[in-house]
Amino acid sequence: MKSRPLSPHLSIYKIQISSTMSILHRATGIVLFCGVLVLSWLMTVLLLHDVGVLFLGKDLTFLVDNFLFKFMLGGMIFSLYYHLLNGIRHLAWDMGFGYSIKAMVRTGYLVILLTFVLTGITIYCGMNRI
Amino acid sequence: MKEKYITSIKKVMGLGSAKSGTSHWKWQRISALGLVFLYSWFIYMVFNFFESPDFTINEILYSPFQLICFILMINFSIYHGILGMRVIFEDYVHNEFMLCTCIISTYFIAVFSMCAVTLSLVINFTTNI
Repeated sequence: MKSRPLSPHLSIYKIQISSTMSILHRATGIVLFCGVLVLSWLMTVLLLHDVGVLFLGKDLTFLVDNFLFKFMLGGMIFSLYYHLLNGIRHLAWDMGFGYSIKAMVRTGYLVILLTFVLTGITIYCGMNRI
Repeated sequence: MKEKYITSIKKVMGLGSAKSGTSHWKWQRISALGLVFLYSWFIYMVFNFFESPDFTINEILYSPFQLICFILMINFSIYHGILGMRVIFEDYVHNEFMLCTCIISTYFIAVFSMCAVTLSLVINFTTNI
């Protein structure tokens, strides 16, 4: 009984927009949770560095120039927009809108399109500022 | 043999609804609704920062209304994250001991972060205003 195959047979699973967006919602949720925790620790250290903690004090340009940091920041921006837009879609479903398959597919593609557009705009404007 | 004399109502007594079954689901949605507004505000602020050179993080840190929005945003995010991570652990961690460990350690880390960031924001506001 223990080694019976589990229901979604991943090796022969056909990728659909519904399942892909659902799993991406979870993945971006995990990314955002870890990100907001790290950001809160970073902010705590930076805000209190006058009072005691000293190791992250003065200059943050070394962070902004770092490729890994840029990559992670881009991932956070993408995750935030995706989770926000798809979350609105989920709230609409909870209120009973957009249940038909046609509407589900349309709003799904709309969310993906808007995510990429908004991520692009944000990164473009951000690079101009910094 | 004893089983035979127990009526079916006796078997299910005490195993029913605890009257708070929807609270997890409900609060996940309520915090999500709040976060939609709070993150819209935050993205608006970030674009303000991008557009004007004299707009800095101090606009958030030293204005009471903005600071309250920011503190609410972070705390609601972590709260929403606790609820969401619990669902994910319940779906993918099948060992009961590991499941409890994951959920409880998430709670500890999250509550610690909420306290730390809220306190440091408030301390920074009151000492540097």
